Amino acid sequence: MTTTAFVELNNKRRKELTAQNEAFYKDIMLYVRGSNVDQRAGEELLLELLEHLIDAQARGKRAVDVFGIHPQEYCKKLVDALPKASFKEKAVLYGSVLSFSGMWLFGLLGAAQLLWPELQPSIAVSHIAAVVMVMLILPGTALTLLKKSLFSTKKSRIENVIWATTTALIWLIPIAIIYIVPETFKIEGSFFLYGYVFAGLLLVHFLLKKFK
Amino acid sequence: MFKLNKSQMLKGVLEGCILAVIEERPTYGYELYLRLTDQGLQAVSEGSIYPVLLRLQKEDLIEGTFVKSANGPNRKYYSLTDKGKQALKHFKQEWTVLSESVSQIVLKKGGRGDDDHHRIRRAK
Repeated sequence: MTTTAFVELNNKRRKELTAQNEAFYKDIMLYVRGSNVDQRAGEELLLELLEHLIDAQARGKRAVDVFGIHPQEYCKKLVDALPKASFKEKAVLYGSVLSFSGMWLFGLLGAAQLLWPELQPSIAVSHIAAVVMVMLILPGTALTLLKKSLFSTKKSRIENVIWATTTALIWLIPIAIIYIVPETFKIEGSFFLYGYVFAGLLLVHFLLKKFK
Repeated sequence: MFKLNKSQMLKGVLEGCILAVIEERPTYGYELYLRLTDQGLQAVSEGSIYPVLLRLQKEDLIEGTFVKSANGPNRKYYSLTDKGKQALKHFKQEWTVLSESVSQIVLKKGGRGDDDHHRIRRAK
């Protein structure tokens, strides 16, 4: 069974849970998925826990009876015992984030060049370095914050704020960087150059998705 | 008064118990929990078996095989590896010695009968 098959089965089987049990289980799921663990081993465990919860639910038990009153501590124990993510898994994750933000950045520059050539939109090596640096830090930070917000009573609001902020940052950061970071080693851009870079990144993004 | 927590006592021997239950026949998480509690280990909380199962897999003592089902539940059946069988054999030997010694000490007043106790007092 592939990792994707586990995820699909999980989505299907999760519908068997009551709303309360599903909410509890979803926090465990987000915690495990947001941790530095081998994806396949993590998904296998999540499906196993889900099936256990469905069985327990049929016997009139609640998620809190199964996983305890300290779910965060419980999840930490699980994550500590799971094998860690491989270098390949990490490379694919960060490669996807980087190629995605690069596509956005160069796509935007290309579009600007085509629509408003008089603005002479340009980019510098310093801008690219800044985007790469921010995008390497952002996913980890967002996941750490998200994990902290799980299992709390006010979580839905905090969770939404974190998701919204991260999504907004992914879109806004490349633009903000072009304006804020000083231009060092300016690259003489043209519509074709931006287009080629965009196409290259699209290819990288596609390949990373395929080899995931 | 200080009370020893049952689950704390269980911590050290749970791995051995799980290996022994799996040795009887391949089993999945929920069934494993039921078999443990049916045999008197009520202090085992349901979820607590999973971190132990993960550790045992990491140490290569057990291995799991997922059996997919179209509409019903998907079970991961665990069985002992050769290394696991050896570990269980070792655990059984250790447990025999340890349980005898503990019973001796705890249930028989520090391992000495009443006669010994009086003899020691008289000697003083």
